[in-house]
Amino acid sequence: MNAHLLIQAVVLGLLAGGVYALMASGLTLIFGVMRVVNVAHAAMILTAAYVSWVLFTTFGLDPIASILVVMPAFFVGGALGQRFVLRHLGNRDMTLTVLVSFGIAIILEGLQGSIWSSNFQAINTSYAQSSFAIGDVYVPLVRLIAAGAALVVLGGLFLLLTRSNLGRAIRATTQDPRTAALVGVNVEQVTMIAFAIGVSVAAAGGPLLGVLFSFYPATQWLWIGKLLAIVVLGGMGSLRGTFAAAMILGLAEQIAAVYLPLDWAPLVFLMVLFGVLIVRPQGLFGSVARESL
Amino acid sequence: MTAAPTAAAEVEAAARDSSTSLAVAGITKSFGGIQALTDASLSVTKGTITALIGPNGSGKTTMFNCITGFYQPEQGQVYVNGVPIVGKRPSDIVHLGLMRTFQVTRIFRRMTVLENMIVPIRQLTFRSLFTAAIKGHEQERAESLLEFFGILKLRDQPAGSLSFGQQKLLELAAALMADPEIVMLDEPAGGLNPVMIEKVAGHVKELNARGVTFLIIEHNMGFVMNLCDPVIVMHRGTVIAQGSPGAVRDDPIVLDAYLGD
Amino acid sequence: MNMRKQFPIVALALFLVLPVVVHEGFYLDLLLFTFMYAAMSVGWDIMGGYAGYVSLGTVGFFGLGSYAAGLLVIHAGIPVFASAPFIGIVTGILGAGLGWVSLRVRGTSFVIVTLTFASVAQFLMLDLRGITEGSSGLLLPLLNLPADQVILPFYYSMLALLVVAVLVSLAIRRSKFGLGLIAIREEEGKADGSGVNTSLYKILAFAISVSFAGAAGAIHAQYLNTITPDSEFELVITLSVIIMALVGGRGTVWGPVLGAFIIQPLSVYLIYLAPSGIAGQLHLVGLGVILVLVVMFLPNGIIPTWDAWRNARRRPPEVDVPGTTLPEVAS
Repeated sequence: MNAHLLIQAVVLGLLAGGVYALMASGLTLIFGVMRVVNVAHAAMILTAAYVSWVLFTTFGLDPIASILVVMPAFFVGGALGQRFVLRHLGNRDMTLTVLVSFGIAIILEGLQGSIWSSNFQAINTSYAQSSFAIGDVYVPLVRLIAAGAALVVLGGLFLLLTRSNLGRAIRATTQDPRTAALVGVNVEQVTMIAFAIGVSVAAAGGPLLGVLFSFYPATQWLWIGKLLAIVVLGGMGSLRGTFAAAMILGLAEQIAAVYLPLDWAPLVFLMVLFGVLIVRPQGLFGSVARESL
Repeated sequence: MTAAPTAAAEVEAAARDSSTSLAVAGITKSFGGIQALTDASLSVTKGTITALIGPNGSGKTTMFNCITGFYQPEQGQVYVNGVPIVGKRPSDIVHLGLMRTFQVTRIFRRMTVLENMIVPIRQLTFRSLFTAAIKGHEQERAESLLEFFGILKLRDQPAGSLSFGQQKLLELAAALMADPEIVMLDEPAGGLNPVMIEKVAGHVKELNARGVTFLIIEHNMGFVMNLCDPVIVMHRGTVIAQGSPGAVRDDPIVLDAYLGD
Repeated sequence: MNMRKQFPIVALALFLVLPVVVHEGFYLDLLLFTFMYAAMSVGWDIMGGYAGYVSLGTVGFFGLGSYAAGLLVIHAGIPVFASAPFIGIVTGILGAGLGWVSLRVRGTSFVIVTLTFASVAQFLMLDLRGITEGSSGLLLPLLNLPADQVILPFYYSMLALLVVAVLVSLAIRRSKFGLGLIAIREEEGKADGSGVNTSLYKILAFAISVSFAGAAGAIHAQYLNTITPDSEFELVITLSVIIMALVGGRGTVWGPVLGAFIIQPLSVYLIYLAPSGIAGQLHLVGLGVILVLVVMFLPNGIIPTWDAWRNARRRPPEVDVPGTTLPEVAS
C-alpha cells in the first residue's frame, strides 16, 4: 500500500492516541480506587467540552487555555459528588454505584441537550484549519497542540502518582485498600481525592475533544465505548497500560481508516474490546482475571 | 519418627490408588512477588481425618484454594480420587466429591438456613434445574442434617441472624448436603468455646465413621491431637513433615519451624 | 397473603376485558407500552435482580429484534405476531453468546460489554445501509384492520408477552436455578464452591432475560410502522426498564411490574408537561434524577421495603437452641 498514507496514518494515530490516553486515564484511575466503571465518564468530558465551547463563543477564550478553568472546577465538583453521593452508597454494592453513574450520564446528556440543543457543535479556533508539512506528511496544527496539551496533563498526573505522598497513597489504595488502611492511609479521603482527580483529568480532555471532533450530547455513548476499549485493553487500574492501549488503538483506528470506509472506525475499538475480553480478560497489564473469592 | 515428606513423584505414582482420596504433587503458587507455595506435595488417605498444620503464613489456606480450584497453581498437579483437577472450576471439583469450608465463615446471609442447605445439592439433570427448589426428600435430608448439628429450629431464620457458632455449624451442615467423599475444613474450631469445639469434633468423628474423609486446617493443637491422624506440617510454602500426632509433636524439624524465625 | 395471589389474576381478567369497554386509543396505547416495559423489566430483573448482574444493553436487543421483525415482514411477508416468539429465542441465543464473552470472568466485563453492545447494535443498523436503509429507516406495511381495531393485536400481544415473562420469572424464582442465581448474587465464590456452575447459570439467565426485549422489539416495529435507528435504540428504553425494576423491587417477580405501572404513566406525563422542543431532553433529565434518587434512598424498591417493614412489626419469638447459647469466646 501507499507508504506515504501509512506514515500519515501513524502520525495522526499517535497524536490521537495522546488525547485518547488523557481521556481514558481518569477512567482507569477511578476504577483503580473505587473498583467501579464510571459510565458517566464520557458525559463528563462532553460537559467540559460544552463549557469550553461556551467560554470560547462568549469570551473568546482559547479552548486549550480553558483547560485551566475546567480542571479545578471539575475537581471540586467531583470531590463534592463523591463525598455526598457516591460515598453514601459505600462499598456494599458496586452495581448500585454503576447505576448512579449511569443516571448521572443520562442527566448530563439531558441537560446538555436542553441547554445547548442536540445539534452538532465544534470549537472552531482560528488555527483549526492550519497544518504544516514535514516532508510528505501533513500535521494539522490543532492536533499537534491538542496532543501536546494532553501530554502535559498526563505528565503532571504521572508525576503526581509516582513522586508525591498522595500518589503513593492512591497507588496503595488501588492495590489493596485494607493493607493501605493498616499502614495509615485515610482510604476514604484518598478515594474522594482520586475520584476528583479522575474527573478533573477527564475535564481536561473536554476542550481537546471539542477542537478535534464535532460533538452532540448522544455522542457520549460512542466515546465511552472507545474509552472502555482502551481501559480494558490496558488493564483496568493501570495508568501505564492505559497509555499504551490508547496509543495502540489510536494507531489502529487511523490505519484502519486508510483501508476501511470512515464510518467503520469505531468498530475497530469494539472488536478489540471483545477480542481482549475473550482471550485475556485482564488486559495487557492487568493482573486479576478472577476477582476476590 | 515422622516419615520424610512425600516427594512429588511418589505422590504422582500413588495418586490413582483407590486408597488415595486426595493427592497434591509438587504445586507452586506465587502472588506478585510472593512465593506462597513451593513444590508442595501431600496425599490424603481415604477414610482418615488428616490435619494440616503449620505456623501462620505457611501456605495452608493457599493449599486449600489450589486444591479446590479457587487458585490455579503454576506448576504441579492435584488429584481428587485420581482425577487431575488443575484448571477446573470450583463447581466441577465439588461434583467430583470434594467440599470445603472457609476460614472466615461463608454462608448466604440473606437466605434462610434451609435455603443455604439446598444450594449445594448436586443437580444432575437439566430438568432438575427448573423444578421446585426444595423437593420432599431433599427437605428431609436437609432437616435431618440440621438436626444432627442441633440447629434444626433455626430452619427458617435468615442465616445472617445466627450466632457465630451456629453459622459455623450451618456451613459444615451445608457442606455435607452434597454428599461429599472428602470434606476440607479451614479452622473449624476458630473462635468457638470448648463446648462447641467438642461438639464439632464429635460430629467429625461420627461422619468419619460413616465414611467421610477429612482434611482439616487447624491451629488448636488439642483438637488436632485428639482427632486427627496423620498430621501434615507445612512451613514457608512447603510440606516439612508428616506422621502421627505424637511423632509430629516431638519432631525437631517441626518444633524449629514453630519456634524459629 | 391470599390477596397477593388473587390480585394479579383479577387484574389480568380486567385487562383482558378492558378494550371492550374502553375505546380511547390513548389509554390502550399507554397500557400496551406499560405491558411492554413491564415484560422487559421482568426480564431484566432475572439478570439484574436475581443474579445481581446489571445489564445496560437492553435496548440493543430490543432494537435488533425490531429490525429483524421489520425485515422479515418486508422481505418475507412474515407478520411480527408470528415471528416474535422466534425472534425472542434468537435474541436469547445472541444473549448467550454475549454472555459467554463477558460472564466467564467476574466483575465489570459484563457492564462494559452490554453497554457497548447497545452502541454497536445501533451503529450497525445505521451503517448497514444496504439492508436497513440507514437513518431513513424501514417502512412496514400497515395491518389490514379497521382503524378502531388496529390497536388490539398489539395490546393483546404485549399483554401476552407480559404474562409469559411473569410465568417464566415465577418458575425461575421457585426453582433450584433461581436459588443458584441468588446464591451467585449473594456470594459468588461460595456459590461456585457449593457446586453451582456460575458461568453457565449466568449465561443462561442472561439469555432468558434478553429474549423478552427481542420479542418486544419485534412487536414494537409493527406498531410504529416506521422504524429508525433513533427510534428503536433510544437509551430511554434501557433506562426505563432499569428504573422500573428498581422502583418496584429488584429481585422480586412482581416488583418490575409494579414499577412499570408507576413509572410509565409518570414518564408519559413528564413528556406532556415539558415544553416541546426540549421535551425529550428534559425527559432524560427527569428519568435520570429518578434513577439516582431511587438508588440512593430506596435501593431495594417498594415491595421488599414494604415486606421488611411488615416483618419487622411481627418479630418472630427468640429461638433458643441448647448448646449454642453459651458465650462464643475463642479459647
